[in-house]
Amino acid sequence: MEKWRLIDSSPLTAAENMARDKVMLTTRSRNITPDTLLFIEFAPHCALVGYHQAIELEIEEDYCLKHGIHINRRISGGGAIYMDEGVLGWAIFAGRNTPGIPANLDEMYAYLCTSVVVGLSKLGVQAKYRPKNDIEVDGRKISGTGGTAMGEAILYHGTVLVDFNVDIMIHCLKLPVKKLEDKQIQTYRQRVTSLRGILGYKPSLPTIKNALQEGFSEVLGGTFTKGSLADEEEGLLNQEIPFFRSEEWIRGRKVPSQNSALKVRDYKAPGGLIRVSVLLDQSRKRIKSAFITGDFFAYPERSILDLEAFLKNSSSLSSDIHMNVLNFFNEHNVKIPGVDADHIGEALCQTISGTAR
Amino acid sequence: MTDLLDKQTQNRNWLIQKDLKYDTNNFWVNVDGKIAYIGLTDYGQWTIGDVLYLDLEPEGTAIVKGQKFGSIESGKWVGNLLSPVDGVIEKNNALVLANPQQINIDPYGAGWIIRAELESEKAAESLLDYMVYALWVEKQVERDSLQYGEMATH
Repeated sequence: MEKWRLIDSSPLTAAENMARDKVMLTTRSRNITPDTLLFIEFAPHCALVGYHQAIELEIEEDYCLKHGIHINRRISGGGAIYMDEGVLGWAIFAGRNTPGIPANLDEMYAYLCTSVVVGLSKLGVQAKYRPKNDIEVDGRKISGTGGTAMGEAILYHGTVLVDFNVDIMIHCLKLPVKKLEDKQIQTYRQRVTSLRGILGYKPSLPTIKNALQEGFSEVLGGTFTKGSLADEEEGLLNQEIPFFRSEEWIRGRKVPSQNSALKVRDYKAPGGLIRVSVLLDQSRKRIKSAFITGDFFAYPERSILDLEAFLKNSSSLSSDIHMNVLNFFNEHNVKIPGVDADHIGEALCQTISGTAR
Repeated sequence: MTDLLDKQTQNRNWLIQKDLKYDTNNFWVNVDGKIAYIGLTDYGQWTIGDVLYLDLEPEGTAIVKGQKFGSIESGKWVGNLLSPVDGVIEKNNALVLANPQQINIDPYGAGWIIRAELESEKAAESLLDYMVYALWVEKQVERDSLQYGEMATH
């Protein structure tokens, strides 16, 4: 049975946490350190972009500055996130050949997210993995994940929303809600949930960490022994922190061909009004994120939330959208009186092309 | 017409082009004298999934075998692109930079990533031929299949 190191860290700044990710991945790739499960907390609160993202496209910088929200960049992929004391982070640093971890990324996401799902079940929370990288409860996201690799080592990390401040997240990230009315923003809040929201109380952090550790132990099949950073890691961390605080790191890395446009439209279907808000990367022809509301009733109730997750990073080409929505409706047996897949597809297409209101 | 091996393992199919060289980071190298086109294999693009971002070192940058010459993102995963050869980046493929999904759509054709000038004509000699690469892919898939099967029993 494999032996894992468990590190339960005190809260660090965004730059310190990002630097530690790099250092722990580096030492694992050099076989200096064992496979490790790390628990992560942030202080002060922060907004983090993914490795390839442009801060000006993802973060409301003025709001962050005004509210003391640190801005930084992850070494992993994915979208911008907000982290505060109500979010617990976890990370796995492991060799690629660790028993059980598949080479195909989609299979790996499912495998490692299962650890968190099992862990949450210990708290009485019935969560599920939702492709590609989310863990949800009744369609509402409770954990997002992402990762990267270095040599023969991987880092896969994620969050667990414990008692999350959705309002600050909505203000500090550029989400597809900026042009919406309060009623729709209220609906957007329902896209995420937290342990407090589900359980009605906030479990203590040690209780949550214990549960997650048990989940990782059951799925990965190892034993976990509490440890701390090795001397080599401490040394490297002191060297790396200044770079992770620098503008060169925070603002220097971005893929030039990306952009971001927010588009909002109403579409009248026989069953009711569909309001679509889309963050669009027009250069790469991708839907960055979509938010779909309206005065219609979907069955299963969660299907629109799952559709939004399904559309994330999908093609924004009209033919692809219609096909993707149709496939989704068929696969999930979605029923909306007076609204079919073609109506939703058309609402998305018209929003993206900006042709109708 | 390109000669392709249709490698079927564990009920999955990947194309492996017979006239190319390969490495175990899933790159193919098409060598013509000192010039080489480099891209990800069909199996390589499958392991990564739908490519969203691609970032490459500028043209003119020296590349070293096993060292990073760019990064690639799919879903929420960032991976380093490690050069299969020593040389210099002569040209980055503008098409895949603008539309990285070309790597998924046509990995051996329009989805090539860089064109490099090799340090020497022998720079690619140590790479794998298609039969050896096909065996390596088979071993990877069998390993994953066994491990994933074990996971499913939990």
